[in-house]
Amino acid sequence: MDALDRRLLAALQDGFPLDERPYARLAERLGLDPSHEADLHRRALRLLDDGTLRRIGPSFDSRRLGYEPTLAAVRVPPERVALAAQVVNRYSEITHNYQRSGSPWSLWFTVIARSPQRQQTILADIRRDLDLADDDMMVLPVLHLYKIDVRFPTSPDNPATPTPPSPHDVPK
Amino acid sequence: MNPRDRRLIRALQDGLPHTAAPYAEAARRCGLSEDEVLQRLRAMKADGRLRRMAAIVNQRHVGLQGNVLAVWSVPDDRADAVGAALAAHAEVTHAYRRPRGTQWPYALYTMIHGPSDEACAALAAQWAEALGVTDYLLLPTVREFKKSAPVYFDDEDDEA
Repeated sequence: MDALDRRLLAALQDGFPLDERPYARLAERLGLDPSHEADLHRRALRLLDDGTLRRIGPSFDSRRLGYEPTLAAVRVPPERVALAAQVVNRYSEITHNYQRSGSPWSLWFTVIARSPQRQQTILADIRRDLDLADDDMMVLPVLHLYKIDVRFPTSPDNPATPTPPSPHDVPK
Repeated sequence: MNPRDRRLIRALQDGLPHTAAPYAEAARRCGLSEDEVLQRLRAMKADGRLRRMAAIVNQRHVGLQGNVLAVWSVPDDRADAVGAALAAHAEVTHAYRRPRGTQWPYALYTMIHGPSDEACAALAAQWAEALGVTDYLLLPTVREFKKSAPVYFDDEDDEA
């Protein structure tokens, strides 16, 4: 990864232009001549190909799309976590599902359902299938959003330092 | 929600096409014009349905191996102040207030990213000290069972 790759990564994280020629706009944003369009596109393809970029695409506000999102946590003993995770993963509405240490609440997952009813059905099914007592599941919808900003610093000295704040990380 | 918006969201939710003119390719895929695709996306951006169009970087490829959920218990009248203070740190990618449980006093949730889980824990300790928060927990990831983009409007067959 060279210096231009790093600058491109920062620019792509800041926002992919909504424009017919997004890579020409990115070139302008980086202070380059628009003739760098093809070069930047090639670099982006390489960064996608080698896994540095997970994806370039939209992030929607699921609530504003009419969906009902929530985080949930269940209390299952460590030896049952893997099986419980499979039960939870059966639903396409589950987007994240992690085993976490640090508390008796061992499995944490997010549900994004098309309606409150569908969300309740999924959570009730999971409760039943895992044979959970009522107080073994916490349903934790967002009450207030302070921040969502999934951008990572790309400076070359990054691994050595605990992620210094940079101007593009300041929340809007 | 307009059926043409739904069609567009369905076509884009796995990511933009990898071409130099991705909106033209997306337009072809969902049978709209490129102009209409861009116009609809700009409208969704303006009204907040589209949070952002951007790249998501794999944190491990930029030297960040650490990834810790921290939950914080603070009195209700301090929750928003502490939540905003935690959110101001660049290493915090997500910060939310959620309901407390009956046996779970933690209402603030932050995802912390750093070079290692230990580095994230050190940051949390530093912030707790600075904010005078004495009750917080670190919930490191033991295993990822699923991580996927949400699927919207998947079971519909819109005609418009």
